[in-house]
Amino acid sequence: MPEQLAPLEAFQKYAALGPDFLTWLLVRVLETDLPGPPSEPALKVDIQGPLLFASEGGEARKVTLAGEEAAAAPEVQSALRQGKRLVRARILFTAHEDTWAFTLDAETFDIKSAKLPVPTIADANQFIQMRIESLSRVYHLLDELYEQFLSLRLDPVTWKSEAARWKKIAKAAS
Amino acid sequence: MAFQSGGLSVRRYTVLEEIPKSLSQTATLAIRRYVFRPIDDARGEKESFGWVNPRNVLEQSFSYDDIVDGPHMLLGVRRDKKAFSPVLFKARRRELFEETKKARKLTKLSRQQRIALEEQLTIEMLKETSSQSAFAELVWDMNSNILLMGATGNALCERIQEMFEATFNLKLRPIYPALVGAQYIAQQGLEEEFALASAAGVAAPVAPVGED
Repeated sequence: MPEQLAPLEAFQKYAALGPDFLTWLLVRVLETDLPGPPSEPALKVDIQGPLLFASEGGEARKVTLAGEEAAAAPEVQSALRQGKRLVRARILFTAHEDTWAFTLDAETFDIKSAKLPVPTIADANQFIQMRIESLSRVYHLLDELYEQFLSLRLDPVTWKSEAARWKKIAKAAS
Repeated sequence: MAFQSGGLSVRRYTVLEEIPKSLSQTATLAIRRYVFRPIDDARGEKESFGWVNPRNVLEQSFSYDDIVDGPHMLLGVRRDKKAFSPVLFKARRRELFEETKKARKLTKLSRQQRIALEEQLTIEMLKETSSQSAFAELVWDMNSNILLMGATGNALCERIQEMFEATFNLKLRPIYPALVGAQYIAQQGLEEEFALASAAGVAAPVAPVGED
């Protein structure tokens, strides 16, 4: 087994994986062809603005698109055509009438401004426990989706066909 | 505070070492070493940073049992900061130097006298200034050894991480997708596949219509 890299070295070497994942998620959502995570096969994923695109390595100009319909905007195709990656987006997970809404940072998997499907209850300790469990559920679903992405991303043949999907989406607006 | 109400913003970490079996006996004292203490104006302190019980942020002598519920440890962080305008400081320093020279009938102050007066003025101005308080929380799931930090700013996260590691003598590592990917690639021996897929994939800008 190859020796594991130091965290900083690994972070730099594989920094593209997070933005690649979020861009993959966006393309699959736009194509309504996202494989459901094993623990929640019927999970509905929606991507809303604000969307933040950046060039690989986080350099060059960033494109920010706001609004609930941002994912379907022509600027998204334009950003993909320019080889930009989605680095931040508002994501909605819906399952069994529960909706989790949160902003995901692709490079760190930081979850921001999360709204969790937890009812307000009088028992503060129970309320905290329910929020922790709900947040852990979001991370679990994200981890499952990320694992599915990794198996594609690390297979040169399937990743090439994934690239063809991105090109198709990008050309749709040309 | 983050886990108790409102929108949540979180960075996720893994605790790299096994939790010592004695944690429930040693944690109270360990936390007290880094517990929040108010800013001591008399010592010229401008900031204070330490653990609090998130269920009662004013309590200074809380124990392990107060912050643990089932497998979860819920720990708060409080940072108090005092700041005054450097313009006002310089103006009052100039006045103080002049008054001192006049009172002691001196034409010039020595370097040591100037430093002593500056320290005196700093303490005086800190006493006049109210502190600004900021709070954050973390949840440590001691079953899975996953820690959810209720903060996402790099500087604050690193500071909380350092204090956690010093308190419990346990190392933390953020769960970034790059690090998860690196571990997966190393374990599966997929270095070459990663490089090939990167080259074959969508790394380059997509060619304009009609070029391929």
